[in-house]
Amino acid sequence: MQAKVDHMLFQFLFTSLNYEELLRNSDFALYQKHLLFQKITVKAIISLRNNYTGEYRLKLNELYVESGLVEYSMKKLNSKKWSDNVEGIRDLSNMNVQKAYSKIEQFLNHKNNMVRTEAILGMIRLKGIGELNSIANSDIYLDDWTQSNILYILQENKIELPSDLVDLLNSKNLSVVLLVIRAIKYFNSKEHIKSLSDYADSTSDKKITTELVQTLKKLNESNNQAL
Amino acid sequence: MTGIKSLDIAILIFNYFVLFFAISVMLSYIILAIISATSLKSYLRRNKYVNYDVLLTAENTPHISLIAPAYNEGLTIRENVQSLLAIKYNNFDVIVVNDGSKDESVAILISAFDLVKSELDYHAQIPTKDVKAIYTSTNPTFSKLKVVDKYNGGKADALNTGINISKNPYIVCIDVDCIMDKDALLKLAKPFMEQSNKRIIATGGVIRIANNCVIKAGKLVDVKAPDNFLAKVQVIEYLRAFILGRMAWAKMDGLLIISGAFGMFDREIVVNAGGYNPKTVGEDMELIVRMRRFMIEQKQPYAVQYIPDPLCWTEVPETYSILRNQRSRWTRGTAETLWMHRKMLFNPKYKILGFISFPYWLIYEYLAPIIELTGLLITILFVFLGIINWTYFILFFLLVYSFALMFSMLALFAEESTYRRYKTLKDLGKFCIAALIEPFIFHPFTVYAAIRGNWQIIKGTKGWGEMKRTGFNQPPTNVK
Repeated sequence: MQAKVDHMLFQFLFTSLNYEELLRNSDFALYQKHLLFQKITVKAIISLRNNYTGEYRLKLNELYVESGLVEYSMKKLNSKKWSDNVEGIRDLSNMNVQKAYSKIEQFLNHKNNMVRTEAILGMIRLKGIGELNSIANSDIYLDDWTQSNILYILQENKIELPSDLVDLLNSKNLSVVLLVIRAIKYFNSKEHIKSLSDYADSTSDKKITTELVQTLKKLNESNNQAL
Repeated sequence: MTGIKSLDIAILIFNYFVLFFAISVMLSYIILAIISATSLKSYLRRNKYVNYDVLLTAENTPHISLIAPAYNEGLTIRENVQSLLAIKYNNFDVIVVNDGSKDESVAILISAFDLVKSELDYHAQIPTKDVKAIYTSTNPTFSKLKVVDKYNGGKADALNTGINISKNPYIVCIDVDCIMDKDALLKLAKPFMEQSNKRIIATGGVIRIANNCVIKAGKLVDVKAPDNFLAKVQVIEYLRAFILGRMAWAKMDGLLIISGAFGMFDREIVVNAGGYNPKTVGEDMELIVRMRRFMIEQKQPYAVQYIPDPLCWTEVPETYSILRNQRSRWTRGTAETLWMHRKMLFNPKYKILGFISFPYWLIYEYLAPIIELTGLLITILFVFLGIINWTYFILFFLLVYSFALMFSMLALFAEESTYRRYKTLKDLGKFCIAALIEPFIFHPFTVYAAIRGNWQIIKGTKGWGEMKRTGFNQPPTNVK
C-alpha cells in the first residue's frame, strides 16, 4: 500500500495532474475510502509537505483538502483516544488547516498532558507565538522539551516574533516567560534588549535569571558587532 | 518416604520450599512482564511521532560530557573515539580517561587526534588517583575531545576522574568499546528536558549485543544474530532483562541499576552522592542505589528514567572462561552493593526500594543461585538415598523448563513486535534453538559462576581482572 501511495503522490506532485485528473488516472478513487490508505496517505503528504515549499506545498494542501483526507484528520479530534487527538492536532496544524483552530484550542483543557502540549504546539503552528497569551496566566507548564519544539516550529514555519511579544514577560506562567526570553535569544531580536534588561531587575527566579544573563550577553555582543 | 518421621518432615518442608520459591519466581516474572508490556506500549505510543531533530537546532539542550574510561584498549581506541565524536548531538564533549593502560593507548590517541598537553587544572571534587596529564586537540575538528592520562585506579576511579574534569551539568558514562545508536544522546536527554516537579537524576537505556553484527567506522551497519552459542543465549538473556525486567522496575520507580556500559546522570547529584565507589566491582548498581538513597534522605523529589529503545551495542563474552569471570564479578558486585546498603532492607523510609526492589534483588538475584545449588545437591542426595519422588520431580522439572522457555519466547516476541532488529527467520530460528538449550547449559553455568563469585567473596578476591580486547567480530581474550 505504501508503494502505491508513494507512486500516486509522485505522479500528482511532479506532473501537471490536478486532483480530478489524479482520480481519473490512478487508483486513488478506488482506495480513497480505505482507512489504511487514508492513514498512509496523510502521513506521506505531511512528510512531503515538510520537505517542500511553494507550489508543491500548495498542491499537497489542495490534495489534502479536496480528497477529503482533511475530514479523516478532523475525525481524530472527536476520538476518545488521546493518541488519536494528538495525531489529529498534529496533522491538521502541520497542514495549516485554519478551520481546525477552534477545535484544537478546546484541547488546552484536556486531562492528558500530551494532548494539552500538542494543542499549544498546534495553535502556534496555525497562528504564531502570540498564542502563548492563551496560557500566559494558566498553570500549564512548558518543559524544556516542549519549549524546544515551539522554537523548532517557529524556525521551520518561518514564524516571525511579534513586536508585542515582550508583553508576555508579565505572565504569571514563568515557563512562558522563559520561552519568550529563549525565543528572543534564538532569533537574536536585539530590539528587545531594553525590555529584557528592565525585566532582569524585577525577577528573582534562578532559571530565568540565568537565561536572561545569557540572552542579554548574546544580544549585546551581537549589537556591538553590528555597530 | 523413608519411614523416619523427622526426615520425612524435612523432605516435605524442602519440597514445599522449592515449589514455593519456583512459583514465586515465576509469578514475579509474569508480573514484571505484564508491567513492562503496558509500559513499553505506552512509551511507544507517546514517542510515536517524536521528532528528535528538534534537539539538533535547540540551544537549550542539556550540555553533556561523554565519559569513556579506557584500559588497554589500544587496539580499538582510535575508531572507538572517532565513533563517540561522531554522535548526533550538539552540546557535548568527550572525555576519554586512560586508566594507566600498559599499552600504547595514549600515544595512539595523541597521534590520531593531534593532542597536546593542556594547562587545564584538575580539581578533584571526588577523590581519585593522580592525573598525569590532560590533553586537548590542536585540530578544531576534535575540539570536543579531552583525554586524561592518570594512574591506574580501576573503572570507578577513572569515571570519577572524568566526572571531575567535566564542566557540564550532565554526564554520560559509557564503555569506550560500545557502539552508540546515532540518536542515543537525543533519546537519553529528552527525559531531562521533560522534568518538572521531580528532578531526573539518571536515565538508562537498553544495551544490545553486537557480536556478529556488521560495524563499519564505529557505526552499527547491520544487526545479525551471533553464531556463537553463548552470545546467542546472552541476546535472549539481555532481552529478558532489559525489555521484560528493567522496564517494569522503572515503571514502579524501583530501578536499582543502570548498566555501567551506558547511562546518563545529573552530575551535581553524582558529585553530592560521592561519585562511583572504587571499592566495589558493582559500581554501576551501587551508584544508582546511593544516588537514590541520597535523594530520599535529602527529601528531594526525583525520578530515574529508563528508555526501552536499543541505544547501545556491546560485545559479550564468547568463551566460558570470560563469561565465568564476568558473572562471578557481577555476583560480587551485587553482594557488595546489597551489603553496603543493607540499611534499606524493609526500611519504610525507602518505600518501594526498601520493601520490593531490595528484597527482590537479595532473594531472586543474589540468593537464587545459592538456593538452586542447594536444591540440586539435596535432589542428588535423595536420588542416592532412593527417596526421591520421581513423579513430583519430573512434573516440577517440566514446569520450570516450560516456563523458562515461554519467558524467553515472550522476550523474543516483545522484541519482534516492537523494535524488530533481527529481521530474518534464520536469526529467529537460531534464538529459538538457543532458548531450548539454554536451561541445560547456559543457566547451570551462570549458577556455577555465581557460586564461584560467592567463594571469591569468602576468599577476599577484589578487582575486575583484565580483558584484552581484539576488536569487534573477533573473540576477546582473557588475560587474567
